[in-house]
Amino acid sequence: MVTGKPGEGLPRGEFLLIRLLLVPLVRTLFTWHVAYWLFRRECAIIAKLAQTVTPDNFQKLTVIDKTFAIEDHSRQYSPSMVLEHLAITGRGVMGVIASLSQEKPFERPITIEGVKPHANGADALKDFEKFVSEYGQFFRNLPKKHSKTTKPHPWFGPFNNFDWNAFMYMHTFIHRRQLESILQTQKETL
Amino acid sequence: MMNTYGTLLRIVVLALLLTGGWFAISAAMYGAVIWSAGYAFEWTMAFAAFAAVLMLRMFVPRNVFR
Repeated sequence: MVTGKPGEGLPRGEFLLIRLLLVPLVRTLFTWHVAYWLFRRECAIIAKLAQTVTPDNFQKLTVIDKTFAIEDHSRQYSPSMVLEHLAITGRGVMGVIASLSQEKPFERPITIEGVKPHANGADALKDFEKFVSEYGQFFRNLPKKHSKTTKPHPWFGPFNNFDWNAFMYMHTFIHRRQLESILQTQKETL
Repeated sequence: MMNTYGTLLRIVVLALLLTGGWFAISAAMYGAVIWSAGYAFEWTMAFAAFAAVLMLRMFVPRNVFR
């Protein structure tokens, strides 16, 4: 049973692992293009997985065990909702990166609750693929220069434009693992 | 729990691959400089170059821990 509320956050251990180890590791080892290439790879994997889902299961809310870096409230998503969330978050992050890259503060608050999926529509895959194409175009035109201006992630602290670009990959990867868990659970409950 | 272990394993593998990539780049840069100057390639110096590149990336253009 899913009892968590949106935005409640991660278990302390996971949060500290990400904040103290993974964020510095990503900042050290990633480049703009490594992050983008990995992001595109994840999107291709997700699209392939989504294409294997039957129409009945695509919008079926499925409770899964807790996966890494996913808060409790997000344990009851359908495949459609995962794709919807990725498109909502991704378009939001594009706006953040665009603003920070011009050294302009991004004024709108970023909240976990604000990027939760609601529509659970049948066309979520089409919209996700449209978003991936939009991000590709955006990335190609983006000046790849670290900004001094930052915008805090609700959990992980101040991120500049480079961090948000790397976040696109990490976030997509985490949700790909969530999607794999959903599909596995749907298969097991056949 | 298996999903979590799989995720963490993938993160570790990716970190190792990227670290290996940075080592290869650092060693190649060191090798290019050394050979053009006519000196012999030394692995200890290649590792030192790698460490220097990592330290640079940790603090330039900004501190990765903040």
